[in-house]
Amino acid sequence: MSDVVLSVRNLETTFKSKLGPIRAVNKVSYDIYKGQTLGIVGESGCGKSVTSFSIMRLIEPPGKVSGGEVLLKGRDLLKLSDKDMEDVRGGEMAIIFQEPMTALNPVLTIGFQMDEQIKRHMNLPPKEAKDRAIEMLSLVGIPSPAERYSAYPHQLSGGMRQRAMIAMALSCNPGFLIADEPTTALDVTIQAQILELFQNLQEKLHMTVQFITHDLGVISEISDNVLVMYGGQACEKASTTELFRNPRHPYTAALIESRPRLGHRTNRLKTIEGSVPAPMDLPAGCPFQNRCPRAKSECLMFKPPMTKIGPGHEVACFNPL
Amino acid sequence: MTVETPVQDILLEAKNIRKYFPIKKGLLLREVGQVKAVDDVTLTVHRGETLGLVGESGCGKSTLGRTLIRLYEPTGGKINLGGKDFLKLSGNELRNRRKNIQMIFQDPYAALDPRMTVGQIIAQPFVIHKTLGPKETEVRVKQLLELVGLKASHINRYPHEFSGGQRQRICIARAVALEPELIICDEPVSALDVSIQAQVLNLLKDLQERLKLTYIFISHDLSVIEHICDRVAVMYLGKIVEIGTRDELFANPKHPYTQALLGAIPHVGEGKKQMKRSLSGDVPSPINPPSGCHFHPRCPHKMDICSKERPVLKGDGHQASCWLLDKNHNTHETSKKESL
Repeated sequence: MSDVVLSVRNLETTFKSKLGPIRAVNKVSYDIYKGQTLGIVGESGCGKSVTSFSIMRLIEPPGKVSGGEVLLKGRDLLKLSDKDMEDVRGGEMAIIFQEPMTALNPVLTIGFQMDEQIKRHMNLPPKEAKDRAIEMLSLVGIPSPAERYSAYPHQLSGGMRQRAMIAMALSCNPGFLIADEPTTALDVTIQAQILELFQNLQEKLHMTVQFITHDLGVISEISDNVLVMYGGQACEKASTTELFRNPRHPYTAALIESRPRLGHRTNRLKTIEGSVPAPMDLPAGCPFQNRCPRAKSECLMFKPPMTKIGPGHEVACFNPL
Repeated sequence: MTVETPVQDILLEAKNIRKYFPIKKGLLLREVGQVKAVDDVTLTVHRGETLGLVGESGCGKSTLGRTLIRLYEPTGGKINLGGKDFLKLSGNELRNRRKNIQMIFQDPYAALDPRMTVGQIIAQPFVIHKTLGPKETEVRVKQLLELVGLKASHINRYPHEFSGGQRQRICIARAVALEPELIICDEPVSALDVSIQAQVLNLLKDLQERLKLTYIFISHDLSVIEHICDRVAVMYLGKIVEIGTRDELFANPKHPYTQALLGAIPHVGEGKKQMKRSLSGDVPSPINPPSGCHFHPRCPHKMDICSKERPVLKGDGHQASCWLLDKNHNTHETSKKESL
């Protein structure tokens, strides 16, 4: 097997609240191999974004990464000093957010924001930093990049802004990239453009990617492996083909079936009863127990551990399909 | 063989509907231009069917939905609702007619007044239209809550005590309270989680059957549209570019834009693959739309005529507005077939 780039071990992130500590991420572990894409999928509140923010060490009080290890090429990021972490962030590892309008500073030009990062991480003189920024803008398919370099974020369309975000994230050759719902705010035809761009760039630059989305269609087209999260915990992990062909966790199976699919017509959709529990009232035991048609008595009391169930296929369920 | 639809089956008939918004600038707010949000749209809605309006953001699908029920006054055109000229109504007549049309909005967090209890919210239609006394209203509200899958005991709770999916159920209960004929559903599941979307879509289908409702269903999500609609209209920059029955349109999309939209949807469960070439460019601004066919700058089958003359909707039943379908102009017949 190829080398592990990122290895997350028993990651735990907790938020303090009046109602007591809320565990947004609860003992999540996974590995991402060089040049591959891991898709993390789940509904709102499942902890998929908090996981990414924890890896980037962007969690702010009252939140705190309360346990576990995040090994990037063998180095534990959680033990680095703030200064060293700044070198990693934007240098070796970058993140793309969902809403480019809020992630970019509206009063600074695209070029200024890109230069800042390039100067910090690559130690280039201003002239060369500018050339690098323009080169990156053209790499992501922005027309007339030299002009866009001095444009403000509001002067670009949503799709172009997301391209600029990608250019910025990739400008210092990060080996590892986190994409947090990068296409959710975009129209379908623009989403298709961005996904295509993503795949081309990943091939060209040999990047390792963690791709977060709630859209099963997107995950199925872009990732090599998939991690399904529910209630702050990992519930299933498998290669993409295996996961969609042979889902073993009742939640994964229900999620796949509840989505209307083009060309698969049914009169009624299968539903998952109830709603996603709020992080503060997660039940003891398996977080999915109260919505699960296969729940047994042990599900109410114990958290099912991730167990190997096939080659490269793990599931956290006492009664898998 | 096509069967002529009997006239009494048509619930709503809109002809050449236009909605232009003025652009005002400067100190004196002089009008400097217009946004043609809906430009010359003609469509009919049959009783008991679900008509889907689909398109990308800014294509005018929501504006069209709102204009059809006069939440926006149309700039021009005719609307015939249940055999009467809907645009001529005013005052009490209009209010009475409006009982029959309701709306469900995208964001169930913004569509409910946070200071009113669920009971008060669902009772509003009865208060406004003075159809029921207080006692009967309460009974009816409880029935409605149960109809949409909530508990009658929830009547005194406030919206913040409910999840997104439950709030959308409250909005649906309010919309069906007066037993309307037509409901405009404006992206009713877009703000909901995947596992909740299916619940709401099933509820909308059940209610349609039980209450004989007609829906105009607005969405950007083609898989949702395919699931719930009988007929579908695809919009681009304020115009309908293709309209037809669901089966026809999804099996045999005629307009290059519809084809591109269908091609852009990621498919579940087919594994990682190389993306096909997607449509280039952005949706142009409706302030200054491209000449001729609005789609020509992004169209893979562009011909000379496309930038000069605007195509009209052609065909019976399944209509599309594209020069490729016009035999006199179609020099790309072979290339189009290859790409299909």
